[in-house]
Amino acid sequence: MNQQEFSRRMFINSLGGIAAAAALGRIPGVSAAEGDALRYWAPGIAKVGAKDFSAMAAQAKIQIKNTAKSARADEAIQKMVVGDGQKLFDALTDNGGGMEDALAENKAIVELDTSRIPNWQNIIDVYHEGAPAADTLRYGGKVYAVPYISNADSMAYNYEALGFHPDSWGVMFDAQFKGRVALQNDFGPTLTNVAIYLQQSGKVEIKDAADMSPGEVKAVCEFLIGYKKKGQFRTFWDGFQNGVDLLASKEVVLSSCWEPIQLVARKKGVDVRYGTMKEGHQTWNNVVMLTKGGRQRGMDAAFYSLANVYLSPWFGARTVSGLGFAPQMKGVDVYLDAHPADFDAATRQNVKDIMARKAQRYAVAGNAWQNVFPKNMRAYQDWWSRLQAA
Amino acid sequence: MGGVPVAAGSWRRRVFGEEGLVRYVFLLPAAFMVLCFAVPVGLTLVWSVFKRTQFWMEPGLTLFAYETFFTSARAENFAYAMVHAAIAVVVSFLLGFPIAVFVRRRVPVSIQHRVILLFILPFMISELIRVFALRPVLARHGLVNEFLLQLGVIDEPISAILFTPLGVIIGDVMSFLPFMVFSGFLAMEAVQRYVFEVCDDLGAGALHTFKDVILPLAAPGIFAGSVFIFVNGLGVGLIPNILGGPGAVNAGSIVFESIVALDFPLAMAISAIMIVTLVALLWIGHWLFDLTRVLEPIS
Amino acid sequence: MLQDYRNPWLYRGMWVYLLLLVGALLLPVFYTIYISFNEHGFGAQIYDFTWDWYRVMLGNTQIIDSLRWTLGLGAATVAIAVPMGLIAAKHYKRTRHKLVLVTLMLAPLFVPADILGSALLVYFKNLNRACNWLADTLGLEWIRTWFELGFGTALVGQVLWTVPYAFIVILITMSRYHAQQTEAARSCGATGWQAFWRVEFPQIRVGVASASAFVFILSFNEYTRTNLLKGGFDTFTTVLISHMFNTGMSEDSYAMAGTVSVISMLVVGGVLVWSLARVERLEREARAAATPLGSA
Repeated sequence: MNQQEFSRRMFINSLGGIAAAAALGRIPGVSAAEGDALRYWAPGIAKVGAKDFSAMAAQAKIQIKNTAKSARADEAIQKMVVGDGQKLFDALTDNGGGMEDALAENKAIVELDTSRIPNWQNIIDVYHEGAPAADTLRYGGKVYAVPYISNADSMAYNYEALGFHPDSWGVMFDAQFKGRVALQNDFGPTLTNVAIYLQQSGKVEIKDAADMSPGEVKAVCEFLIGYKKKGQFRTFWDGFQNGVDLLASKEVVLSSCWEPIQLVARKKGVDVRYGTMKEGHQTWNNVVMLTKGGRQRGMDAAFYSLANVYLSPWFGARTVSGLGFAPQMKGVDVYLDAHPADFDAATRQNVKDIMARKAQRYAVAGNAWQNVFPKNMRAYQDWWSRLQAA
Repeated sequence: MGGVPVAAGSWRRRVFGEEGLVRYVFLLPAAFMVLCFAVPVGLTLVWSVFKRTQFWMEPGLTLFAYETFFTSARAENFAYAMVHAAIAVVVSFLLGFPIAVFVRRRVPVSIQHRVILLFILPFMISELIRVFALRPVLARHGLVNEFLLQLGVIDEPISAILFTPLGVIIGDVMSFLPFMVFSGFLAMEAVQRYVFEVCDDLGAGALHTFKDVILPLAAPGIFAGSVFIFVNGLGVGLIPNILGGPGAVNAGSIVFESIVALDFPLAMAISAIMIVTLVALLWIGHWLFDLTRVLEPIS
Repeated sequence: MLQDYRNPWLYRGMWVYLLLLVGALLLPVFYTIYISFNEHGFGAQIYDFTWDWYRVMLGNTQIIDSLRWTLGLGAATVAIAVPMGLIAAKHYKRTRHKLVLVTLMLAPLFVPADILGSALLVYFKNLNRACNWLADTLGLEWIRTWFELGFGTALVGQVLWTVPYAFIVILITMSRYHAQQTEAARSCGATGWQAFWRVEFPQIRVGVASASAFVFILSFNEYTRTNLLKGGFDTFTTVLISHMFNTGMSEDSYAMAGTVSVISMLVVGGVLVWSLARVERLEREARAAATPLGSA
């Protein structure tokens, strides 16, 4: 059977197809306007004002090309240190505490010149040198990151179902709520919050709830395994939408979760509230960083403009009213009152309430700053897998 | 017989002729699959014995990753996931295979394929969407419970169908059942329709026909469908994540978790275990049923 | 071809069961579409109809940009996976090593996305390091970027995922084709290409077209492999999953999920209707020509 002509045509056809496809695939990348855009790797929570980054870009007077980033702690490290993140992105956000150290240590990000960020003057006191959160922006004493949001994570509860305002993590382990409790499906925040509870209530001796020894991790996990076996937990939620669903559908009445989850669940018509736990909370912030590649490409000016927006009350007022995250600069209250057209009276009052509750949570002595790379990471992972299997 | 005169262009003959270079075009798909599939999948075995560094790995020969797998509870998690996946296979078979038999046996030949293609619709839509949307269907106040409450069949919402192993099995079945219908139907193509007629004429009972005629003939297809459902039930991490109980995982999510913790050798070790399991299953299946028979009707 | 059904109720019952099962499998999809028009979104206790999420989605430049990448990636995947499936199917007919070829072509179906994606990620990262090393030590600058994560690596992931489907669909259509027709054509003086293009291809065209539609939809819906291998761009589904799993959930994800479902159903449904119409037309023509219909 002679296949020659057939084969030749087939060969040429497939080559043509590949070439056409390659050309087509390149279209999105080459639009001219993106030439000088800041290539920014960040999740949706890093923006306010519009459904995309256009309002942020307009405010900073730069162009932004955003790539969606997930909440996975490893991704940034992986891409920036062993991957090709340097080529892909000029700037990026982290996913919680300790990441800027790892990135700076590996020379993936560069030191910042805070004098190029006018609003740096305005940053909240906790970030000043020597203050509790100073290290979350610094590596070796030098500033490598600019914070854009922070919070003290707590517990959301369905007030209608509970009938009272809980003030202790202990309620999550109360037998009357068996099967109606959810925890976050992430060993970092979950183990830290439970460790804070066990430490402060004197049940287990724990030195540092954010950086436990293998023995302490074991004690915390065995405590959780006991309750899991009794059926105390309905599920561990993963991702924002899941967290909202569980509360809004009344599947659970108690959930350790992010504050925006509570806000959105509440908007869906269920009386979900966010408490202050007397034992303490895991506190955290998210930061933006300039990559080494970004500076080499001369994108530092654009980066500083964006960083300046993040420290402006314009951003702070919008992130707290929209998502409930704490602003990182002073003067948000003044800004709100000065812009009644953008923020109606109810919103302004709501923001004041949120800020007051935040101040309460931040004031609790037992709080611990998030640490995504604890020294005994392996113990955390292994014990978490035992909890999963229990 | 070739169309190209030898003298006019012997180079053309060398390129396009019967024995010319162009015949290698036919090897391209296989070459692609070897380079981009078989090699990386095989290399997981090699990477799994590498040494873990802080953010990556370096060449070495250590069984530390395997030790971690077997001494932590990950092996246990893996085993549970296998049990759930196996149950999903059985349920999918019970629900899906009768359809394959029915369509092949009773539905007019001209529309058989189109009836089977009905199952393509759900199968083609990302399980991300289908699995996610199962939660409001199965939840305490979800569609199923509300419907049953309205009917008065139950007094209290059933909470056992979501955030439990049962929820995971429901998710597996909803996601992968169409594949049992496809491979079952493909397998039934091996059974000529007159076989059924003969059985009917001989007055063989339905069970007898099924056990002694259909099952042996369709076994390779059933097996192929079962393996597909089993490995996907074991490996698609999204399903236990969204529908399972507190901390429910399977092999896919353990791999993903290891990658999140930057433990590449461990991720590769679990992948390797998964792949060895799969190869062993396919080998046993081939040895028992001769899987090439699945494709016989279309060869 | 009517059967003498011994039990017509059983026959009807089976039809009802079949349709109910398809309906049950589609229930979550329809539910998603329904929710995408709810002002209060997923899991809400109230339902108010709105087009807003779709309007918001269409006004979001990031989503529109990701849609362009999705279409580009889908087109490229079709352009590679379908010819590859066709060549492999032709090869399958001639080769003696059928088992090896079939195993290779179908094996990716049996490796779950998380596992294959992770293996490919580590593979490409290693290749990338090797290329960088070669570029640095031997000065081979031109190979430095060959295996950087990006469009190419995501494409490989997608082709691996879709090629088994293309292969099997085309193979099934080819099995209805009788090789004697090619031989007849060749005896009448047609070249190999002419015999394929004029005689065989028109008969397997349905298969190639359905394979293209299926490959496109599979590519459109894929996210696990793409997410691991894509580098610095987003597709529709990777934006969707980042919205669903991140702190940055935005309401337009309802519209995005609805869009994916509707487009997928339209394309697949279109193929079904088109092939159904085609069969009817062929049957009508056959009846007109008074040729008795054989059993396929």
